[in-house]
Amino acid sequence: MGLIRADVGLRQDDLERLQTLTELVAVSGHEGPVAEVVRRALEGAVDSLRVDALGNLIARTGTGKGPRVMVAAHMDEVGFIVTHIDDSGGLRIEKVGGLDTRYLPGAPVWVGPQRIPGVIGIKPIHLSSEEERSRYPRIQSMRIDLGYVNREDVESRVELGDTGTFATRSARVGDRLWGKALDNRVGVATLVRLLLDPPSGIELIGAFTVQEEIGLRGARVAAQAEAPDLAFVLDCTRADDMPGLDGAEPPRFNARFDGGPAVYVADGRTVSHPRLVRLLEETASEIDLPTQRRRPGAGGTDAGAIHISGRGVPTVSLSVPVRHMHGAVSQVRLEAWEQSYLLIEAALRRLPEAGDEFPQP
Amino acid sequence: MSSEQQPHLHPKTIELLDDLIRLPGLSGSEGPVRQRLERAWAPLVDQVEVTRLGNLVAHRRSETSPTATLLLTAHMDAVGLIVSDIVDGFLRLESLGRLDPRTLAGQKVTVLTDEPLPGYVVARPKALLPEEARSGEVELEHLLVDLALRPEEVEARVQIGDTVSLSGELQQFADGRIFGRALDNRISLAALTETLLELEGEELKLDLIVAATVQEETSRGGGLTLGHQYQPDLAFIVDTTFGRAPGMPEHETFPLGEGLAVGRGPSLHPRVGEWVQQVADSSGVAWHAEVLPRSSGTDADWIQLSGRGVMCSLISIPILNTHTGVEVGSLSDIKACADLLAAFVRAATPNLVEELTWD
Repeated sequence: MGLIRADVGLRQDDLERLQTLTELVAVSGHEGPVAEVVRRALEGAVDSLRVDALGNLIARTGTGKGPRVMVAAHMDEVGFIVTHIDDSGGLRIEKVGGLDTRYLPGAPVWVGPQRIPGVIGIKPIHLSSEEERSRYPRIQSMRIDLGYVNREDVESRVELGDTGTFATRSARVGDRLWGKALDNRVGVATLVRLLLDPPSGIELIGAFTVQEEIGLRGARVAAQAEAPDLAFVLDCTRADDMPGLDGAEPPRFNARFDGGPAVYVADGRTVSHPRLVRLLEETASEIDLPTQRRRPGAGGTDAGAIHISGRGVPTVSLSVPVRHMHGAVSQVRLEAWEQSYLLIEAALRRLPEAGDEFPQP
Repeated sequence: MSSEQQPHLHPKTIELLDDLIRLPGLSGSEGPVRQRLERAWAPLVDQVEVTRLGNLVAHRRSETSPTATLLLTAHMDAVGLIVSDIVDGFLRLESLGRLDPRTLAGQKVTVLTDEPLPGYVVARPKALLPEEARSGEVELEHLLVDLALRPEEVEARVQIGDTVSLSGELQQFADGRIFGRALDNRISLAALTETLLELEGEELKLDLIVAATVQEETSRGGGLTLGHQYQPDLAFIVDTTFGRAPGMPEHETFPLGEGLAVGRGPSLHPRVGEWVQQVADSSGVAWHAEVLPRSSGTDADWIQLSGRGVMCSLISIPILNTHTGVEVGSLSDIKACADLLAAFVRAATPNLVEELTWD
């Protein structure tokens, strides 16, 4: 039974997997916990699974059965990294990727894959100057308190370079899902489902990439190694269509929260292959799914690295709109997530017929 | 292990604190907290009553007559927020008491409608904010509550004026430290409860009143009317004070787990303060003097000035991150406070009023 559609689509176990994935700590460079969950889900169900020098997890199914199609989803999330342990056992941090640092003061956090609980405290307003009270503190002046009295208890558990995230538990509210790191556990969960029920007629290369948030680094290596014929990138995009202070229509909102899966024509790093854009939009129309065009402009996905790898790879990105991306807690519409899965699945099934319209490498 | 790590609090006290952190109880709507406290205190006292403004007052009477009346009190309201507007299904907020707006983004909240609604405080996307905001300026106006509901549903269920409480659970660190919302002032209510548990079954030489006041964070009306109504001979006010984290001024803050702050200044009776310090020393409870040059910013200020005047002492428990969702305290400080108050009750005599003069 689908989440939204009764006959096909995502299932309860996909939702549970997504929620579990959001509660892991897997910041750029430390994607292991997510790779582990993905590996366990796919072991035995795909032709091959390999982990490369950067930690990318590459899964292949349908080997030799048709055009070699890479579908990529990045496993990493934005977060923070420990730069110093002070005399009282407090941690100093820097951000990793585009973390929205406004959410840090007063936040409960998890440090390391074992999720050691901590809080980011602040000097009370009563003791602060007018200037201090009216501005967010700089991240360099923030301190994570792990609650230990003795510095040694912290040093035996935390090392410089350990990463961490907000301590956010996922929660469903009707059609909406709250969780941290929906960007891009949503994409990861979709890709797992695709590999478990792959469309026939193509060789599907599932690239669970690392370090997207700090420069599309994993995707570059994965694409160079696999040299696919085509690529699709599953990611999330900001749905910033929220009320502005003066009630005006927001000028740049990337995607509408209610607009359905967002097809990229162009972003800050990539111009999508027009034939792939058309494939997605025509497929959506055929199976009666809404889509929107993600507003061109800033931002990037793994497509930025993939499409210019090797001799070039026709690529398009498909994203699910997410509210409050890169904050302590983000939100997605489950219907939009399911629509994105149905769309990519149907588009991949149509590919073998469309294959000869693409330039051969 | 240090004594901070093994505080040996009564399990009922921990259970109570756990519940109190979960309950809203904002200024003016303290009902749920009052009910929970009444449940905890009724079996430990002779009589419980509720005053016109909602103060909870519990009496333990002495067999001795005539005797003096000692009041132990802590405020039960917490700071929170209130809905000032509804826009596209998002809620705009005003403060109810002094919350720290720098820490609100990402905070879990509950909108206190007929059927409470869970949500989160979110920051508006930077692209929608004026230039000053992008360089770090904080304004409550830049924040919204997102309930993950469609705008029509929000319009149907939420009204302007509905209050919004920070929500969350009490969490334990190692080493006897805890964190959560509203430790100001629920940690003090836990200390008062532990005091009653320590005195359970003992004969008292004084009439004891234990009270939880309303509206300390806003109008201060609870403390003022309490003092006026009961005019005790002596009042102990228990509140929180600023805990010391690295980088904070030493003269204005107090270390966690190293005992209580005892107030000194014109709003507090000096002989009482001395007496408290003597009792603390003889019962092995650690304390530090907290100098308050004008007023204390607590119920003590108004209780002192109520009716014909009341002699007051202020005992404070240090917490970190005051008025945020991650206040941090030490369980051993709760124990220290209860030990001190119980020791004082045992040591005080029916004619304590004659013994106390201002100079």
